[in-house]
Amino acid sequence: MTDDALAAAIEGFRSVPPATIGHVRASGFVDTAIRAIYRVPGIVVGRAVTLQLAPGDVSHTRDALNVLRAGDILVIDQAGDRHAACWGEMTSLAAKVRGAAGVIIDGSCTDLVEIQEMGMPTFARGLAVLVGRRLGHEGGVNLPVTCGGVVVHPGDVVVADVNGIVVMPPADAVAVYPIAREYEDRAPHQRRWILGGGLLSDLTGLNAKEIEAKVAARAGGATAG
Amino acid sequence: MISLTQLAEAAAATVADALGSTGVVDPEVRPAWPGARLFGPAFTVRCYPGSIITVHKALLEAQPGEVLVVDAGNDATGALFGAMMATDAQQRGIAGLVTDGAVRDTAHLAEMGFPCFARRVTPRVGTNRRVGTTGEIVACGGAVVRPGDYVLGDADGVVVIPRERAEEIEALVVATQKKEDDWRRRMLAGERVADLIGFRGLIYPDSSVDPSSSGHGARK
Repeated sequence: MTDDALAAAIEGFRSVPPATIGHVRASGFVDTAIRAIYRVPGIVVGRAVTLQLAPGDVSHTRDALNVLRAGDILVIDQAGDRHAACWGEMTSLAAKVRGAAGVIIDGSCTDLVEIQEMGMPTFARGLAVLVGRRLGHEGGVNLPVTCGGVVVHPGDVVVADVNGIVVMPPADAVAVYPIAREYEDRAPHQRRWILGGGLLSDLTGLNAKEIEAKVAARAGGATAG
Repeated sequence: MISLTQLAEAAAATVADALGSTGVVDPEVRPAWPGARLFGPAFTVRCYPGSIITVHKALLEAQPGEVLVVDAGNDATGALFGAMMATDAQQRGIAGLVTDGAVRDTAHLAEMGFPCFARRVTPRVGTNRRVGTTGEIVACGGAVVRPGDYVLGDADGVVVIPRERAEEIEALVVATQKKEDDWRRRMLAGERVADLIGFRGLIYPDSSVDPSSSGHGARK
């Protein structure tokens, strides 16, 4: 796997949604209870920076903010806690200024309206108004964490939208991308076939080119006669 | 493999204290029968959601003394383990099973004495036949588990001890057990647990409101 191939896959996933990856991959799907906290537009893609917190403790959040780079996605493991928010407007703003692409929280966040207004794509189990404190417990930045039942290592590729979230190790992302791309590229042709009265079951196993050939043949047949 | 006999017999709660509360599996993962207890190095299993077949793969590959740690892929709707598989596992000397998914046949598992910890119990079997992976880093009940990390489960739940910290954690556990034995003796002689832990000053920063400072009970 080259850096170029990884960069191309990350760029490419911006037009291949998580649900398409769901057709071609078996693992890395984050618990469906972790959802976009507002109607996040488009597909959010980036490399993971991980943050392990202890329940109710936000001691290590600032350290995470300090290592975020443009395009990163911060993945927070709140160790099962969802009663206290570990993330809000000011942390979100700090992440945005550093160019972060999104935040995924296995836990709770607060300040929904401010986060939506600044446009920081944020995914969480829920919202809370009790806010975590700096308690100095164990935790830290860029450790392997779990997020919605998935192991996330620093640098893993995260693809998220309003339908859900998938996490892939970089080598898997590079391997999965062309397969997912091909799957996704069938969609416009499938739409044309179905809108023209065709049956979806007629398209099983066909690639984009073959579907388009069927669409063209149908149109040709209609014109001829 | 190092012996770790004292760690093997420790309480999950004492180990959790030694770990600083990291490595604690989600409390929803409970003993499948009362009295279930296990300790051993992890053999990790990642299932395609609903797939029982990956656990069968693990049974064919795991070594005696290992604990199967089964990442159910966020699917606890079908059991990934039951009495027939437990019979095979027990025959092979497998130490037990921990999963964030479901198991079944719990009465039979209890009778056999095969220790299992699971998020759910259901009579429905996991049916999918897509084969997942073994021997990879997995997520089980919110804990990261690597092959060879030590897993300990008792009535309180399950903890995961990073393999490279096992001897250090065992030493901390033994020290805690000694300290707690001493505390028990001192409490039987009238001392209070808040004093032994050193909490009284945090609870009553102003000693004039301390109920013990009026002269009742042993302050120190």
